[in-house]
Amino acid sequence: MSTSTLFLRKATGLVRSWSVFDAFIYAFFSINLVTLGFYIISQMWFLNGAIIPMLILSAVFILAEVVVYAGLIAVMPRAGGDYVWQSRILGGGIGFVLAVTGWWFILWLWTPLYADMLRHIFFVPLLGILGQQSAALWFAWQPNAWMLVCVLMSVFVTIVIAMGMKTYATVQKFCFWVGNAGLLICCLFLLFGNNQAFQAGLEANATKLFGAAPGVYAATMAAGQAAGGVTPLMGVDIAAIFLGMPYLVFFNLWPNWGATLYGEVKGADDFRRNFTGMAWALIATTVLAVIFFLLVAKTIGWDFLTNANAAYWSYRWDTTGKVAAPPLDIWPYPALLAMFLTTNPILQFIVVLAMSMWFFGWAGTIFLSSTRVIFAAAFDRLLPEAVATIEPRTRTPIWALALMVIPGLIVSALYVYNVPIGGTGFASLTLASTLVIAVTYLGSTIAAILLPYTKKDLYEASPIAKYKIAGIPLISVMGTIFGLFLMFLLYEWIIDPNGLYGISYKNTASVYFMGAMYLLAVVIYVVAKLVRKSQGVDLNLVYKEIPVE
Amino acid sequence: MPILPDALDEARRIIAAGAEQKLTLRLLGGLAIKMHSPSANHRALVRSYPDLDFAFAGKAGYKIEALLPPLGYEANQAFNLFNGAHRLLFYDTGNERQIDVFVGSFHMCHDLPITERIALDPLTLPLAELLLTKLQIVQLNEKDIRDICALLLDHPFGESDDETINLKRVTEVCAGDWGLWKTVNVSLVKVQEFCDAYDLDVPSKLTIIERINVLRLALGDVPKTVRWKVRAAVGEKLQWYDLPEEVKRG
Repeated sequence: MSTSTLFLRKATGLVRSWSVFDAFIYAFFSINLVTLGFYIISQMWFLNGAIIPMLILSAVFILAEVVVYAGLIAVMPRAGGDYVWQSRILGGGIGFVLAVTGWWFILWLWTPLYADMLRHIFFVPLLGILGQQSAALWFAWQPNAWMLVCVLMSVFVTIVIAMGMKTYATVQKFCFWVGNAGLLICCLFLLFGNNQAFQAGLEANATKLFGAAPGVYAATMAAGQAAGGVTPLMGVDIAAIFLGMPYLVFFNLWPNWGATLYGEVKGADDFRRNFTGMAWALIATTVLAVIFFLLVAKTIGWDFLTNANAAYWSYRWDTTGKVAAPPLDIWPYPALLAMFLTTNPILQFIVVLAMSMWFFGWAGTIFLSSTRVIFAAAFDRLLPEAVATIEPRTRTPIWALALMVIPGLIVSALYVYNVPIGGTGFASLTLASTLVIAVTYLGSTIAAILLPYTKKDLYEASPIAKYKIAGIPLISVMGTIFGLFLMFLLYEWIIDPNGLYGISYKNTASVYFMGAMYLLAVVIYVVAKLVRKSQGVDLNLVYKEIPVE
Repeated sequence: MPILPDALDEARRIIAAGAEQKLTLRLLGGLAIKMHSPSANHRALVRSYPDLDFAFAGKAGYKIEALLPPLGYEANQAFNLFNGAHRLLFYDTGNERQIDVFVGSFHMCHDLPITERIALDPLTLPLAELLLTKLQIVQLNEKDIRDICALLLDHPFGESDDETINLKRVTEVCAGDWGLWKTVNVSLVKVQEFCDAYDLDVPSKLTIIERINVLRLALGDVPKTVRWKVRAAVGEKLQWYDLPEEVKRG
C-alpha cells in the first residue's frame, strides 16, 4: 500500500518573484536607519524627547501597524495594497482619493528629500575623501547641485524599477549585505575608538577634506549650543518623548511600505509570514539604531552630534541671514564622522561607499510601491488603461513612472529653490510627506477595523479569522491601537500647539500643497466616474469585486 | 482562423504561427507528452488537458504578447504586466482553456534549463526535458503521475533524443542541482508506488518500474558538481524547492 499522498494542485501555478526575505529587506530598507533615520533624527536637535526611548516606544505602536497590514495583506494579497483594501471595504471614492494622495502625489515631495539624503551620504563625503573639496561643497550647498542629484536619482530609480522585480530583489540583497558590512565597520571604529581620538580625527579630516577652520570640535559645540541643540539620547520625560514621535515617524512609520507589492511575494496569504517579515525589519532597525547611537555617544559624544546637527540645520533653515555657517561645513553624517577615526582615505572611501548602499538599495522604494497603486487604479478603470502598460522591450512601466518622475521633478524644483507659496517657503513642507501618507494609513486602518464586520464572509474565510483577543478580532484591536496613534500624530502635525513640526494649518504653503493634492485626486475620481459612465461602465460594480491576481 | 477545438491541433497552429514570425515555441506539459506517448490514451492514463503550456526560447516575451491575441486569445493583462518577463497567461474562453508561456526560463519547484535544446523537436521540448518538468514537481497530482507513467511506458532511456529519453541529459541537469536531484528521486519513488494502482497490464507496470530503476541508478552514479555537493551537505535542513502558488483566473 502506498505511503505517499498526491496533491490536488489544479493549475501549473506560479512562483512569485519575491521571497519572504526579499520582502523583509524591502521593509528593512523602507525604515532605513542610514538614510531616513540619520537624516530625520539630525533635524530633531531642538526637541526635548530622548531618542532611544522614543525609538522603542514608537516601534511598539508601529508593531500594531505591522499586525494591521500583515492581516490586510493575508486577506487580500493584491498589487495595489491600500487602494484595493480601502476601495473594497470603505468605498471607491475614499479608497482612490486616500491611496493616490498617499501613494502617488505625495511621493513627488519625497523626490527632493531622497535626493538630499543622496547628496549628503554619497556625493559630498566621497568627493571630499577623493580630495575634491570644491565639488563636495558645491554638492553640499548649491541648489543647482541638489536639483542635479534629483535628476540623477530619478534616472537611477527608473532603471532599477525597469529591471523588474527579480533583478530589483538581487540589487536590494547586494546593497543589504554590503551596506550592513559598512555599518559593522563603522560600529567597530566607534567601539574601539574614543572621544580624544575622534576629536583629533575630526580636526585632521574636516580641515583637510572640507576646509573647516582649526578648532572645529569646540566651534561646533559652541555653535550648536547657541542654536539650542538639546535632544538627549536617554531620558524619561514621557511628554517630551511623545512630542518627538511626530518627527521621528518620518523614519520608522514605513515597515509596511511593501504592502502594495505583496501580490508579487511568495505566500502572501500567510499572516504570520507577512508579520514576521515586517516586524523583524522594525525590530532589527530599532535595535541597530539603539546600538549605533550608543556607540556614537561613547566615542563621538551625543552632545557633539546634537550640536553639529543644530549648527547645520539652524543655518540651513535660517531665513533671516543672521545664523553663521556651521564650523563643520557639511551635514554631520554619522558614518563619515565615525570614519574620521582614521585618516586612511582608501579605508574611508570604501566604507563610505559601502554605506551608500543603504541609499541605493532603498532608492527604488520612492516609486516602486506607487507604481502598483497606479496599476491597480488603472485596472479598475479609474485611470486610462494605458497607465497600466509597459514599454514592451524593456518592460518599463513608462506611464506609471512618468506620472511619478515628471511631477516629482517639478516639485523638486519648488522645494530645492524654496519657491514661496502664500508667503511660506516650499522647503518647510518636509513632514507633509509623512502626514499625507499617515492619512492614507488611517484609511487602511479603519478598513482593517471594520473588515471583520462589514466583509464578514471574506474575513471568516481568511487565515486571520482565528486570531482574536478576548473574542475581538486581532486586526480590529490592533487597528484601534494604531488608529489612535495615527490620530495623535495627525493632531500634532495639523494643530501643532507647541509649534514643533512646521506643517500646521498656519503654514499656508502646507495647506495649499496638501489641499491641491486632495482636490486633484477628487477631480480625477469624479472625471473618471463620468467618463466611464458615458462608456457604459459602472465603477460601483467594479468595487464589489476583489481584483484578480 | 478561429481557435481549434482540438488542443493538439491548436498547439500545432500556435507553433506554426510562431515559426512564421521566427519565434521558437515548443509545447510542454501533459499535452506534449500525449503527442509522443500513445499510452496517454490508455484508459488507465487518460486525463483532461485544460491548459496548453509552451516554452519560448527568447527573452522578448512582448512578441508572444503580440502573437497570441490575433490568434483569438485574451491576455491576462494584470498577470502579464507583473510577470511577463518570465511568464505569460492567455485565455481561450470559448474552449475554457488557458495558455501558459514560460519565457526564456522555467522556474517552478526548481529551475530547469529547458530552452537550451528547445529546437531539437519540431513541436515539443525533448523528452528528457518533458520528463524533468514533471519530475521536478514537489506536489505531484494525479495527472502528473499519469503523464510520467505514459512517458516512461512508451520511451526507453538512451543516448539520443529521438523518441528516446536522453539519460545523459536528465542526469547531467540533476548532477548540478542537489535540490532538483532530491525532488526527482522522491518523485520517482512516488510514481513507482502509484503506478501499481493503475489499471495497466503487468508487463506495462514492470516496464515503468524498470525504467524508474534505470534512472534512479543513473542519478546515483552520475558524477556530481561541487555545487551539488555543497548543497547536499546542508541537506533537508533547508527547504530545497519552491512551491508554486495557484493563479486565480480573471
